Amino acid sequence: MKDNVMIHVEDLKKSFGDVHVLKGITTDICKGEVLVILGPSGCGKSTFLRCLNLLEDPTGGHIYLDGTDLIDPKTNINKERQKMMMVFQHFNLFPHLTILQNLTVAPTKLKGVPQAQADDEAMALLRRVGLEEKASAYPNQLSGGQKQRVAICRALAMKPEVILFDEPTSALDPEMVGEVLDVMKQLANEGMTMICVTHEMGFAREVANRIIFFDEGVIAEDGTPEQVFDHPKNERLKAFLSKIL
Amino acid sequence: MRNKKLSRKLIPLMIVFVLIMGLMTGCGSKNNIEASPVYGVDDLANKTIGVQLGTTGDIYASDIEGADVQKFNKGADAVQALKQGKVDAVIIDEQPAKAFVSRNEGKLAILDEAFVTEEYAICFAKENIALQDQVNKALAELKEEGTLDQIIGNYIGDDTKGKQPYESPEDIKYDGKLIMATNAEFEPYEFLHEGEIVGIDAEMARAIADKLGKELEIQNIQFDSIITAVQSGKADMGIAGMTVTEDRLKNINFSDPYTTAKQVIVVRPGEVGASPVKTADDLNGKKIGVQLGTTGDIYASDIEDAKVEKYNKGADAVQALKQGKVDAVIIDGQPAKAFVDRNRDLSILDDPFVTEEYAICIAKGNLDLLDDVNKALAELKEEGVLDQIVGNYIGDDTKGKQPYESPEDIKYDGKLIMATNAEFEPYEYLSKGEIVGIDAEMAKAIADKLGKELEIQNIQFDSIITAVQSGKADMGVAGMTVTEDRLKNINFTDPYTTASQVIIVRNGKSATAFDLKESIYNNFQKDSRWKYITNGLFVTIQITSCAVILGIVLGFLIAIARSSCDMTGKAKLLNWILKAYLTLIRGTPAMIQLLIIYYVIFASSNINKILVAVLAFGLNSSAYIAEIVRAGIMSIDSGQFEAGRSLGFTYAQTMRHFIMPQAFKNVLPALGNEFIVLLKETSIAGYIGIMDLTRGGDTIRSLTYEAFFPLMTVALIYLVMVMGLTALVGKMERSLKNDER
Repeated sequence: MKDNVMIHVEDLKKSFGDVHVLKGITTDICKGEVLVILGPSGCGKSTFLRCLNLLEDPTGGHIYLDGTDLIDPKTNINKERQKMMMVFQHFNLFPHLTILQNLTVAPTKLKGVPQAQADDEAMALLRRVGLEEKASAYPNQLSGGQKQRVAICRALAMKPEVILFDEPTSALDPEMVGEVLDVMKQLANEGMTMICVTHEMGFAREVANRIIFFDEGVIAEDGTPEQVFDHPKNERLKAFLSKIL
Repeated sequence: MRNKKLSRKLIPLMIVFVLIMGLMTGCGSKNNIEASPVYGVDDLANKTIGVQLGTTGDIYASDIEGADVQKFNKGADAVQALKQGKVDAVIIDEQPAKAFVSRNEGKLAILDEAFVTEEYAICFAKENIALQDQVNKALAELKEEGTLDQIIGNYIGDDTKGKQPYESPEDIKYDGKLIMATNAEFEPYEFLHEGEIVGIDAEMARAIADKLGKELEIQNIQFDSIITAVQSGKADMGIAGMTVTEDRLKNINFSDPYTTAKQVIVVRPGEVGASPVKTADDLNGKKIGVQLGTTGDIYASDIEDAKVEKYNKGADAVQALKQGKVDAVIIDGQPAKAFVDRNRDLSILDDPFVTEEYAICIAKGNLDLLDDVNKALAELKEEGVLDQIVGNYIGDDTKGKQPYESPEDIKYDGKLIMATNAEFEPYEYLSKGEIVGIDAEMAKAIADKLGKELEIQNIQFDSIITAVQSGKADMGVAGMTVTEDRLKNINFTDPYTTASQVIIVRNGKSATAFDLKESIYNNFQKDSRWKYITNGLFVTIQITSCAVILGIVLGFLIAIARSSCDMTGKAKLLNWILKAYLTLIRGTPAMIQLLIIYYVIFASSNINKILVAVLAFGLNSSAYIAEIVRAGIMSIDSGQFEAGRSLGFTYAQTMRHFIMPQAFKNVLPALGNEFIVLLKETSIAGYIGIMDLTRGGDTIRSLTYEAFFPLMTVALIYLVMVMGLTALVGKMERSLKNDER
C-alpha cells in the first residue's frame, strides 16, 4: 500500500434488489490524484461515486477515508462527508438562497466559521471563477455553466480533501462545457484530489493522472491516460473508445 | 404591475357591489310585489285607496279617515293601479271585483269582510215620473214571473251561468225606442262581449223594454256622465249597477231596487296561500315542521303519511312554514304564541294537539339531586313562587311585574349547572344577551333553595340530555316533556307545569309588510343585538387562530415524520400510526369529531368549550396540513436533499435549512386555502353551544324571525375575513418568491 493513500476501497459491492451494480471494487486513491472513471452507461461508475460518500448505502465491502471506515455505524458520516465534497450533474444549488449564501451556508452552520469570514472566503472563490458580481443573485438567474462553477465553489468553500465530480458537464450546453472544465483543470493544477465521472475524453487525457474503466460492475482496466487511450488491452474498452473517439 | 394593483382593488369592490345589488334586489322585489297592508276594513285608515270616480265606493272611501282616495275613470284602472302597487286597496262592487280577481288569480284577493251592502236601482230624470212608474210596474212583474232571478242567475249563479239567457217574446212588435245609458265596464252587470253589450242590467233592461213594447237602445258612456245623460233627456233611463244615494236623489229619481250588492275591498294577498291544514285531522299526508328531538317531533312521526321535516330550531320550522316549505308546525303552545304574535300571517289552530307536562331532567345516577330538586320544587309550589314566576311571563295582568328575586342574604356553596336551549320563549330565551324565562327563573329559585349558584349553559335542544348524562350539566331545564324514551336514559323530576302542543298554520293573510328601516332596527339596534354578532366574531377569530396554530405545528410534525419514514424506510410503526390518524381524521366529518371530543372524550370533565373547539378544529386541520406539507416536501427535487447531505448536513439540518423553506413556499397557496376552509368550518361550533359568529346571527334570527339581515351580515363578515386572509397569504407568497425574480 502506498504511503499517501487517501481513500482505500475494499471489495465494494452494491446491489439494488437483484441487480448487482457493483460486484466488488477494490482500489486506492492517493492524495493529489486526479482520477477519471470511464465506462458505458449503466456500468456502475456513478453508483461507485455515490457509494464513496454514502449517498448510496453499499451492500458490502469497506471504504476507508484517511483510515476511517465510513461504513462503520460508529463513524460520524456527517463529519467525514465534510472532507469529501460532491459536484452534481444537475448542480443542485439551493434555489431559495443567494449565490453567496449557497457558498457560506455550510461553513457557517457546520464549521462555525463567522459569517463575515465565510463571506470573504466565498467572495474570493467567486472571484477565482469570475462570478463575484453574481454574489447576490439567485441560482435561477444564472446560466448552466455559471451554476456549475458556483457549485464547485460551494464544494471548495468547505476546504475538502477530495472532490467527487459526477458528470459535471453532461447537463450543460456545449458552449458552456469549456468554462467548467477550465475551473476543474485549474483545481487539478493546484493539487486538489479529484475523482471524476465524465465523458470529456479531452479532459481525461490532458488532466487525469489515472483512468479507471468500469465494465459490468468491475474495474476492467486501470492505468495512466496513455495506457488506457493509446494501448487499451480490454476488448470492451477498445469498443468503448472506438465509439467515443 | 399597475393593472395588477388596479385589479386587486377592483375585485373586492366588485364583490361588495354585487352584494349590495343583491341586497337591493332582495328588498326591491319585496317592495314591488309586496302584499297590501290592508287586512280588514279597519286597516283602510291612512291608506291609499283606489275607486272608480262617482261610484259609491268613491263616496265611502272619502269618508275614511286619513285615506288618500285615488279616483279612476274605470274600475279596471283602479284594479291595475292596485296590481302595480300604486294603491293599497280598491273599494268596488262585489261582482265586478270577483271578475277582476278571477282574472288575476293569486295576485288579487277580496277581503272576507264586506265593506257595505247596498241596492242597485234604475235612474230617471226627475220630471219623467210616468216612465218611472211604468218601469217599476214592469220590474215588479219581472220579479214575480221569476224573469229577474233567471237573468241574474244567467250571470252569477254557479249552476245556471250562461244557461238561461233572456229571450224576447217571438211575436213582439215595438212601438218606439227606450234609450238606456250605461257604462259597459262593470262585469257582470254590463260589459262588452263580442262587441255586444251584455250583462244583468242589459238583459233586464231589454225585458223591461219588452214589457213596455219599446225597442231597447243601449248607449255606452262614462259612468259619471250617466246621470247627466238621463237628466238632459239623451237617455230615458240609466242602468249601471247604480246605488241609490242621497246626493244622487237630489238630481234624479230611482226605481225600486232590483238587486242588492256589496262593496268589497280588493287587495294584493301575500305570496303564500293559506295552509291546507285546518284541523289536526288534516295533518295526514302533509309536510309537518318540528324541532328535532322535541315531543312535537315524536307526535308528528306517528301521523299517517306525514312527511316530517326536522329543524334544529323552532324558529327555523316557523320560518319554513312562512315560506310555504311545510304545511304546519307542531310546537309547544307558549312559544307558538310568541311566534304567532310576531307573524300575522300565522295562526294557531284552536284545538290543542296534545297536552303534556314539563319536568326537569337529571342524570340517572344522580338520585340525591333528584330528591333535592323535587323537594325544592314542592316548596316553591307551596309557597306560590312557581305560580309567581309563571305569571311573570304568561299571565296578561302579571306579565313582567313580579320577577323572582333571590333572597338578599344568600351564600352560595358550589354551582348548579343547568343545560337549556334558549330559543323557547317564554320558557327560556335571550333578552339583551341574558337567558331569561320561566325555566331560567325557576331554576334560579331551585338553586337558591339548594344553596348553589346557578350556571346556565345554552346548547342545542337535542344535546341537553347528552349533556346531563355526561355530567356536563347537573340538570336539563328546557320545557322538556317526560316521554318513555327519555326515561330510559334519564330521570325526570315531578312536573312543574302543564303545556300543550299546538299546530301553527298559515292563515292566508299577508305577512307583515317589509320595512327596511324597522328591519335593520330590529335585527341590530334593538336590545344591542349587534353584540351577538361582534361577540360571536371575536369567538370565531379566537377559535380559528388558535386552531390554525395547533394545526400548523401538529401538521408539520406529522408531515416531517411521515416523509422521513417514507424516505429512510425506518420507524414503520410510527408511520402506520400516523397514517391511521390521518385516515381517521380525514375520513370523518369535522362536526362529528367536535361532538365526539366534547361528549365522548371529555365527557366527564367540565372543559372550556372554546378549548374543545380549538382542539377539534386544530386536530382536524392538522391532518390536512400534514398531507399538504408532505406533498410539498415530496415536490422538492431529491438533488436538494443529496446536496445538503453531501455538504455534511444531518438529515434534520437538511430538512430545516433546505427542504422545508422550499416546500413551505410551494404549499403556501394550498395552506392558505386550508386556513380559509378552517375559518368557515368553525361555523359548526354552535353545535356544542359556542356562541360563535354563525350562532350569533342565528340567535338574532330566532329573536326577529327574519332571515335576510342576520344571514347576509354573517355571510358578509365571513367573506371579508376570507378576503383578508387571501390577501395576507398572497403577500407572503410574493415575499417568498424572491428567487424567481
